[in-house]
Amino acid sequence: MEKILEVSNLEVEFQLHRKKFKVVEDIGFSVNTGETLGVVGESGSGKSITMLSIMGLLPWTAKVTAGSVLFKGIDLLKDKNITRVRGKDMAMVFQDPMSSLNPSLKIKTQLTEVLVEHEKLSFNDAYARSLQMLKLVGMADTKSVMERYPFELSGGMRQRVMIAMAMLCKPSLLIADEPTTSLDVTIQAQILELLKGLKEKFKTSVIFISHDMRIISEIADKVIVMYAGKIMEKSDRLLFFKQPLHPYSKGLLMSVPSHKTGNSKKLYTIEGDPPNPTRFPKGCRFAPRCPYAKKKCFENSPPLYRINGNFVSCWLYSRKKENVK
Amino acid sequence: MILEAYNLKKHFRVGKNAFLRAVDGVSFSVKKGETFCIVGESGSGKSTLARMLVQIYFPTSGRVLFKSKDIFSMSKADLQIFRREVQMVFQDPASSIDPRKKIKAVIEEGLKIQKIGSKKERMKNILDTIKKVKLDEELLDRYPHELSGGQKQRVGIARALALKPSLLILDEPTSSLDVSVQAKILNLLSDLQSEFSLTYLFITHDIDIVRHIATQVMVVYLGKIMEMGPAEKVLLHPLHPYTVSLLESSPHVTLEEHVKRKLLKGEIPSPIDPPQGCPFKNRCPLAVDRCNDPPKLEFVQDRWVACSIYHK
Repeated sequence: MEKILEVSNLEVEFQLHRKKFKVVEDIGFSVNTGETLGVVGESGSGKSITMLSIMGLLPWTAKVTAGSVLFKGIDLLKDKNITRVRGKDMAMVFQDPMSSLNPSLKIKTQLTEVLVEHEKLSFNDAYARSLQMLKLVGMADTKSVMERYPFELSGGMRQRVMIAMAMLCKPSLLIADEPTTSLDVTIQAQILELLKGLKEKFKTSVIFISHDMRIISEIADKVIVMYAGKIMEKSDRLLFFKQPLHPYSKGLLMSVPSHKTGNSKKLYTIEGDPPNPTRFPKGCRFAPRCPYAKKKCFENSPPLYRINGNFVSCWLYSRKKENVK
Repeated sequence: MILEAYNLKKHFRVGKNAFLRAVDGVSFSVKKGETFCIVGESGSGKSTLARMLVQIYFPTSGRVLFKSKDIFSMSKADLQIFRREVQMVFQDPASSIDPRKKIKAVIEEGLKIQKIGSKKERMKNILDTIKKVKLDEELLDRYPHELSGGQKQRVGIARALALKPSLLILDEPTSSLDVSVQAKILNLLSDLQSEFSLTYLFITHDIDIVRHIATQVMVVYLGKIMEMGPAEKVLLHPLHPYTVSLLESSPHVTLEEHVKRKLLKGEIPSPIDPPQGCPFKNRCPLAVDRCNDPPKLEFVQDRWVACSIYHK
């Protein structure tokens, strides 16, 4: 399989009150053609910042200070002309469709703009293609939807419009940042099914960000777990859900309320709270909350160990297999 | 019975002759010590219902009884007691806590309004309460923006708990929180329930949470009850097609290669112009002609169901 995206050693720094904080460090992963990569992590783990730096959409207070993002062999961080790729060959769907659509423009203006800008189509051609795409994402009555403003659509319909917009130029990579978090379960199920269908049809690779382990288990081929700006574990989906390696992954999976009726049983919880990005702990960042933490964990940050083809950043695995770094 | 509702309706006027039927004829009763879960999608009227139960809204018609007294025609003295005994915890702790008040003032406010204790006694009460929700004392002098989402929700619970209520109405208390924080809040709620024999009316759209905590479930759709009964009965053997679809749609951790599920088509219709007859009929996989007549809520086997396929 061909690697479509390869991120290595990515580091992002925020500047706040003349102080600098590394919010994301040592991020490295790759996505193959046609693959879905699931990224899990709690709020503040740096998953959105990582994706925004890939897309070149970081806020001005943040800066990529190291690393590379190779998209089809081209380093996007060095490429001045990212707009050639962004929105065309690489598109993004955001969590809240209401705040990512322009509230003052009709759907048709927002959809056709993409094609006029990237593929230099005439308005009429762009309109026809947009209609087709709306139909493809499961919209009924596409012509009347084109004439409406975002506030006239329901949350589910808005998210379909966002997906249609992202898919218009048939991108090779789609980044979906919590695309179903604000939707109802029945609509969420529809949108997940839609994304799976589109991925098959256009052979698109997908990066799917979610804090919901249940959704990741249904949609991803590979899983990355992020915590406090670092990758804790990179695994194949089946292995991950059968046997997560990192203590944090285990904790996350166990704190999901069970699918089986387990009334009044206590849920597993991870002690403590995630650290503040302005003062990440020394050593392993999960150590202060980890039930297995030893002295070493508080002193040195663990490297990524390779265990049966998967990667885990934890000292527990130090004697088991070869070290990749 | 601690709380009973009879044929409760709330219609909002949205135009000259148009009404939004947010809640349309709902009756149920909650026993002491239960965890009564209301499940439904957005627009199903579950939050409007909760707001009527604490008198934020007045119903268009219908009655609500708290400890056998009608809450809308109570004497002033009874109302005072009602307002102490029934407390609400909101979905978004950030917007339901006054950002300009210190945490101790947030918790104290209810006690002041209810004129409970002297200043000294109130302070002692606050310290006790903050311990019950497992927060650090030093947070009392902080402002809400200095707290994390999980901590804020604990403050929301503490504020309710300080008044020693008997019924807590929880409107999606964990849906804005991360899973690991959600687990802690759910554990805290179940500890508090057994310690203070609280009754919970818990509103959520997450079926897995319902499975975890509910003793009774009520499934609502477009302001009407679809199915209602003991949690283990309804969740293990759902009868109403809508309950079946809700359970089918909710994700779960799976090891299967390809997850294929029956999808519910369409979206929830507007409550301004709901379908005639059964509100669920145009999304229902089993709809027949009979569904054009409104189905009655009937007792089937061991629970209440409003679906014509179970009518004899």
